[in-house]
Amino acid sequence: MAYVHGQFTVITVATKDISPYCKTSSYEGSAEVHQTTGYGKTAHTKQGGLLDGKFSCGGTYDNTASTGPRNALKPLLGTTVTVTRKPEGTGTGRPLDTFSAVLSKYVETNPVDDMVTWSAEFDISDVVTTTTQP
Amino acid sequence: MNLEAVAGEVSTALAAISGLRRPPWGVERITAPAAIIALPERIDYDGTYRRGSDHYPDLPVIVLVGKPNERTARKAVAAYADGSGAKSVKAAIEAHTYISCDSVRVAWAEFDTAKYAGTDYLAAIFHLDITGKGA
Repeated sequence: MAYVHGQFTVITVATKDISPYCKTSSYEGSAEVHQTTGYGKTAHTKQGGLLDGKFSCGGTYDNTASTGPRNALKPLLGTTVTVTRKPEGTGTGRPLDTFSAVLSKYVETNPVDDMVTWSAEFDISDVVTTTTQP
Repeated sequence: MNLEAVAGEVSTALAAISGLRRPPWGVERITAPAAIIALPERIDYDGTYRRGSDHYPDLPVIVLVGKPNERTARKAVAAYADGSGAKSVKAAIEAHTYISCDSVRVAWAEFDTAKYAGTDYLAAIFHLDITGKGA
């Protein structure tokens, strides 16, 4: 086991590699929790339900490449896209998450004293498939 | 982003200011007014994933104008520090189209007395914020 630095993270959206424009990204998996407590119990009992998830990413805006965030993401707002995520970077045996998600938000922020930044939020649809890279 | 290439382009940008000399690094004597592109305070690597971007938060450009107590030196340094105009360092540097980096901004300037080759000069030190590709 070893610590893993975030700089090697790879993210593609609709086959476009947006990694060079990303400063941060976050995957959040969740599950519904159902109450199954019956009479006579002294504590709640629960059972897991449907899985759900969100994914967000953001970074430095770039206007030159076709894979820049505006060109790659803005036209996809409201559509379902395939997202891949390599949280430990590219390499044999390292994890690869693949999922479909609706691009639910795309934000551009223009501070007067710094670079333009962007961020995007995805609502994951269906399961996240985790494999190891060949 | 290659430091030498960026410094070369900043020097090229300063050529737009008539009369401002741009002596090469390390010369023993200069004739004022002259602009010297120093080394960055530091280089911030890995601003984005996969060597996407690097950042020079402070690349100093030192403009030496004349004897510190001369009225003409004060007048000259004011023109170089102006935010716009024919002598404006900020305007000249930011008007250039760069290929060695993505963004060059003259963030701030300060004034000091600088010694070069044993001579004191009134100086304006411009601090450049530069962002470019990491690989």
